[in-house]
Order: sequence, then structure tokens, then C-alpha cells
Amino acid sequence: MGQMLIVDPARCTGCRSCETACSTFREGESSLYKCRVKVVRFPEELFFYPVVCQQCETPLCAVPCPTNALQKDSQTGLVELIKDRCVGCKMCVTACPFGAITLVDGHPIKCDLCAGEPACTRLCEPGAITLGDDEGMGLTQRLLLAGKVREAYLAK
Amino acid sequence: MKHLVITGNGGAALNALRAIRSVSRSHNITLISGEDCPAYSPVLTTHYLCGTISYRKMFICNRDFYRSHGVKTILGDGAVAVEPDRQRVVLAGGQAVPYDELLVATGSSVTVPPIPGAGECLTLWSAADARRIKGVSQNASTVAVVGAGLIGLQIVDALWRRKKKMIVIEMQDRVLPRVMDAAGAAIMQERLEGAGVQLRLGQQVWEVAQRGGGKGLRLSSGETVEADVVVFATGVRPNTGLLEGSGVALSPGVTVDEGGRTSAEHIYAAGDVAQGTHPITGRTQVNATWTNAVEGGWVAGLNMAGGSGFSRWRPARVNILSPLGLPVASLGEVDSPESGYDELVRRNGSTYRKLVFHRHRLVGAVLVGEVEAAGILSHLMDRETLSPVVEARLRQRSPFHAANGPWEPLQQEVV
Repeated sequence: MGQMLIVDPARCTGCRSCETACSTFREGESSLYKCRVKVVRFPEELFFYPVVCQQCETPLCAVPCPTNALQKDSQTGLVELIKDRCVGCKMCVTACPFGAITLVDGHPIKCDLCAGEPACTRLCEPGAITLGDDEGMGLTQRLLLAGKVREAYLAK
Repeated sequence: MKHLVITGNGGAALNALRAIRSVSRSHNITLISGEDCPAYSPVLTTHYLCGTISYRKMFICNRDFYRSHGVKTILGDGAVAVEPDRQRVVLAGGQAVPYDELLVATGSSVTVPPIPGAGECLTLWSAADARRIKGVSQNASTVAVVGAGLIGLQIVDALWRRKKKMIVIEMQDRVLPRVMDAAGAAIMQERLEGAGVQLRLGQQVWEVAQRGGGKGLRLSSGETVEADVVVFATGVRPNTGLLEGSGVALSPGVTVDEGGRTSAEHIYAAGDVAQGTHPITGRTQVNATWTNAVEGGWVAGLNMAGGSGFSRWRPARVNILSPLGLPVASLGEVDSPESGYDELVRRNGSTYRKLVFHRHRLVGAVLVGEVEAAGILSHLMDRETLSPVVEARLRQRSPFHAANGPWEPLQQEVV
């Protein structure tokens, strides 16, 4: 069992605090580019979705990596990027189906859950991004969905 | 228990090996390669050239890897012929190796056009080539690169970073022909020229002559370009030599189905040497990319070991690079080949994006400036039909574009 970021789009306001938190705490500068989490925004519909690394069980990003720089840690469940091995060939970017790998000056960065205390979750005021167990993910999603149905039901 | 033979020692060969071992420990495996060194990745040669990694780091596995996978290796004695009816491979040294299943993963090699003097010029493909170019260019001030394709521009990038004056000669009228469409190539061209790289587009080299310590290249325009070192990056061709005369269908790569099987029984092929069929156009094409090798190798390996694997049509060519710091990605078809296709184009300064559709399927994309959506798009391209919701999203606006201002209004170009 590992941990992962759990996203509730219903709570996301599109404020992008998570992006600045990630870049500030991890890259040392407040930037909307140098962040591992990225908020996809649909402003017309007021819908926002923070895209995060799913810490896949079979990480597709690791498949084409010629230097084995991306590895799934069986202990922590994290898909880890080993910086010393990475040469910046960018093939992981073409392989990740979630677009969760960001390029900074030609080199990839990816979410490692900040050693268990993700900066993005701390700064997310509405609680749209939280840290949870991947095995509890199904339950969490069920609760989120049930909550929405309940709201709609009560509003009738 | 079968005896599986792999000829080649690159991305396809290694991944076939991993695939076989993922389903079976009992098969005997022999790996044959003409190069006497552990596997290296051609992807890494330009990184070595530019000095970001050491020579040793180009090698992606050591000899322990073969041992731990239980593989017998024959390195430095390449396969020169295959005899399908006798089920054996003949090596350069004369030895014959029998097989139950054979994987041809011999890759490709660089071709140099038949121009006087071109034969003595450098090319970049193997680890040894990279070392040679690095040595020779050490004291050079001007380097001419013939060919502005993927390899050409990666060489330009590597040597430009080492402060060499670069001259690029390309036969087509744009850089990255076949990889980029015209608009994407124009942005790349601007970046190259802005960085001081001299371009000679739409020109052929007619002759390379020795000039004192350097070389003089006579171009079709009549101009003569002088350079200390000349590198040819004019394309690659599949290494099918060992299958000549064997009866296995070649065209010019080894024709394979989606399971990596060739026309002959018990013979598979994967990687740069293999030629698959495009599901939409029906054309077959060679696809000399690392991703294709890794994936084709895995599929062929599974089938050889008695499992079942088939290749999704990975947009064939998926390429990503960032010459001179401008990231560009090219997926599948970058220009509509014929009618029945339509294209969406968006531009925003030096950020450019193009999607190519065939009816309800995404068949190609060009991304310049921001490439993070490449993975999402390449996976969408695997789907024969996009879901109406996804397709509408893609066509309306760029939903994956996270960190920038709004796009300019959509232009739709129906070809």
C-alpha cells in the first residue's frame, strides 16, 4: 500500500496555490511553470482540475527511459525520478498518459509527495488536494460522489 | 523449453529479453551482437557529445545484467545470415547457432549519400562514433552538419553548447523535414538562426574536398562552405543484411505484423529493423525510434516465449527533443497525407500546436514550446475512435494547456 494525492475537482477553485506551493517549496521560486502539479482550467464552465502524478502501479513513464531513472519503489509505492541517472531525453513526457511530468530547463520533474508532507496539500485552502492511501482511494472517491449526489438530492 | 536467439543488443533486444524472462525462466536464450560491449542507447550519444554525461553512462546495462537474466552472450561476432529452413543463424566467424525462435533486432545504421569525399566524413550512430566526433571536434572551431533531421539537430545542439560555430546543410527547404510541419519548422529555424547557427536550406552537397586542415563542401548553389569537421546525418537504413536471400520479406525493413512476426515461421523482428503497417493509410514504414524499439521488443519477446502480445499502433513516430532549448515533440502524422484528414492549428508566439485528425481518430500532433501534453496525446492516438466528449474537447480548445494565457481563436484548416 502506498500513498497518493487525491483530487476533488468539486472543491478546486482554480486558485493555483498548489502550483506556487510546489515551485516555491521545491524549486525555490514562485512559478506557475516549475511545478509538479498543474491545474487544468476550463474558465467558461468554472471547472478546474489539478493534475497530479498517479504513482502508477505500472508506471508507463518508466518504460521508454533508457537510463532506468524512473522506478517504482515497492516499499513506498512512489514512482521515483533518480536525478543522477536522468539525462533529459524527455521520453517519459511522451509516455505519461496524464501529462504529469513537467519539464524545467529541459529536465523532467515529477511529484514525490514531498517525503510524506506535500506542500500543495498544505496550501490548498479548499482541500481539493489531499494525501491519502491508494487503497482507500476507491472509498474516498465513492464518498466524494455520494456526497455530491446527496447535495443534489437535498437541493431538490 | 526452447532455445531463443536474439540478434542485436539495443532497446528492442533488451526488452525482448525482459519480456521473455517475465513469463519464463526456463527458456535458453542466446544474444548475439557484432559490437563487443554491453548495450548502450543511441538516445544518449548526443548527451555524451555535449558533455552532460560520461562515456560510461551511455551504457545502459553491464555484463551482470545478462548473467542475472540467464542469457548466453556472443558479443563481437555478429550474425551475417539466417537459414530459415535449417533454423539456424550463421555468425561472421563461421559458427552456426540453431534456434527454435529467432528475434532480428539488428537496428539500423547511418547512410551517407554517394558524394565524392563523403565516405571520409564522420557520422553519429554508435557509441564509438560519438567518441570519435568528440575527439575530432575538440580543437575544431567550425563544424558542418549535413542533414537537419532529428540526429542532425541533436548534433548541432550538442556542439553548439560546446561553443562551436555550426553550419547546417539540408536538402529540403525546411529544418526537421518529416518530423515537423512547415509552421513548426519555421519556429525552429528562427531559434537556430537566432543562436547564430548558419543554415543552407534547399541545397545539396555535391562534393567534400580536403582543404588544408579542414574541408570544403561544394553546394548545389555553387557556394563552397568551409569547415574543420563535417558530420553527415542524412538518414538511417535498417540492418537487414543477415536476411538477404533468406526468403524473409523485406520492404526495405523486415515486414512484421502487430505481434512482431515476420513472413517466415519462428522469425520475429523488432525495433529499427522492423517495418509495421499503418492502420489508417495501410502503408508500411520503418520507425527508427527508441520508444518503438522498446515496445516492439517487448511484444516480440512475449510471443517468442509462447505468451501473446500485440502492438498497439504507437503513433509510429514519437519524437521529442529540444535543440537549443526549444522543446519540440512530433507524434505520428504531422502533415495530412491526403483527403479525409483535417487539422487544427493554434499558435501563441513561439508556442505552436497542431492536431491532425482522420475522421474521429487523432493521428498526429506537433507541439512546439510546450510539450507536456505529448504523453496524453500519444495515448489518445492509440484509440481507434475518440469518445465524442474527448474529441469535442480537443477540437474546441486545448484542455491540457495548463499554465498559459488563452489561445488565439481556433483556425480550422481542412485539407
